[in-house]
Amino acid sequence: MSTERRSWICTTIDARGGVQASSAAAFGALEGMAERGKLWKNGTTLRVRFRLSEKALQERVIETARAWLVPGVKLDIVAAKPGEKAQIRVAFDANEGSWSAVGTDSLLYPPAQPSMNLGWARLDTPEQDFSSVVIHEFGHALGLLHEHNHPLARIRWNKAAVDADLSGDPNFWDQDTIDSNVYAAYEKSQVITTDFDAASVMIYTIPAHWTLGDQAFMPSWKLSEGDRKTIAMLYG
Amino acid sequence: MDARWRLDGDALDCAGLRVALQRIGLAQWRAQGPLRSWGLASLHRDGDTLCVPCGDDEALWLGAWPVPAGGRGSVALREPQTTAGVQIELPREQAITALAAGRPIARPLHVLRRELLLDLVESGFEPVKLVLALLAPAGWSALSGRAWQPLSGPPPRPPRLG
Repeated sequence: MSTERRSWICTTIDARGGVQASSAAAFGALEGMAERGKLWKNGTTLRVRFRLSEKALQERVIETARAWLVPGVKLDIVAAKPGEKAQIRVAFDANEGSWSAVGTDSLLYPPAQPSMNLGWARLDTPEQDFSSVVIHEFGHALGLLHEHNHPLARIRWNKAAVDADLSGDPNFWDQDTIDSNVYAAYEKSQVITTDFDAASVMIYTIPAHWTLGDQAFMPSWKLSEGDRKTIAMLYG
Repeated sequence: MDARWRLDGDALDCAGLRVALQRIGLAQWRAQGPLRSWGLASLHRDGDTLCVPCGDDEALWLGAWPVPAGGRGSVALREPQTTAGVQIELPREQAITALAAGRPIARPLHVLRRELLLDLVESGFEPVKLVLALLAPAGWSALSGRAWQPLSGPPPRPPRLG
């Protein structure tokens, strides 16, 4: 496993109507919505359009993203044909990192704009690195959130260390971005959850010095058993 | 013994404030440079003194943050001999960038003694005052009964995010 893969974690984009928040108080007006409102209808075929990229890279992304289509999942993920409307628009801007809108928030973006960016995915990217980022971002596109924000994760952050790391090179995040992507805690009543999955492809890499309890997390580069159960529960 | 603060592992828990000492290689530390934590410094409570080991090749910096997020407070660290001090206001600031090292070099807070005064103030409450004692690793181990681990090297480069 390359060490570089460890750094392939993303920000999610919380579009209008989203529920990601850095404090429980922010959920007050959102009761009853949560991510339930961002899931696609069962039976949906998700069409994906790509911007400025080689055909082989597009095919590799689609093939990798289809890892989410485990037995029982009533979704499909295909490349959009010319003229077809695409719910998911993927860009490969190397300067934009990796991110994705969450679930149906993709529809809130103007059709000409990307709803996902795979800034570090290329044809020559090693398999594990490629899979980890593509599966992770498509997990967001299917409505999944970061696993470390799971109500039962209960990670005891060494916030000074996390903030020091993330506010500097290579990320230069401001405090709001750190708060919403790392420390956000979802109310259990607001999200659909299965058990906390420390091996989920949707968790950040969390080095031990970022926590007070010497907890460390390393995401899977492919679907964990927990990921498979979760997606089957959501779309089965 | 002041019951208003306690140790929660290697973090100090004082009402709505958390404080942890962060280790960094002395050779890598710069007064104006970016901060990294190479790991948490181990803590031991001895009465109202907070004891922390500091090896010859490392520096420490103090990180503090409110719990839950949104709280306010301040942390002040003072050198008793010179009365010089550094104070940070939470949550806007959360680091005092250097406390000590094994040999004298320029740093924001010149440490002449190995006992510093630490004042913790959660907004609306009386200050909690304690002594922060910087101990040689062997002395700290003898006092705490815990092993001290030398720094093994810098942590991995921070993850590259979106």
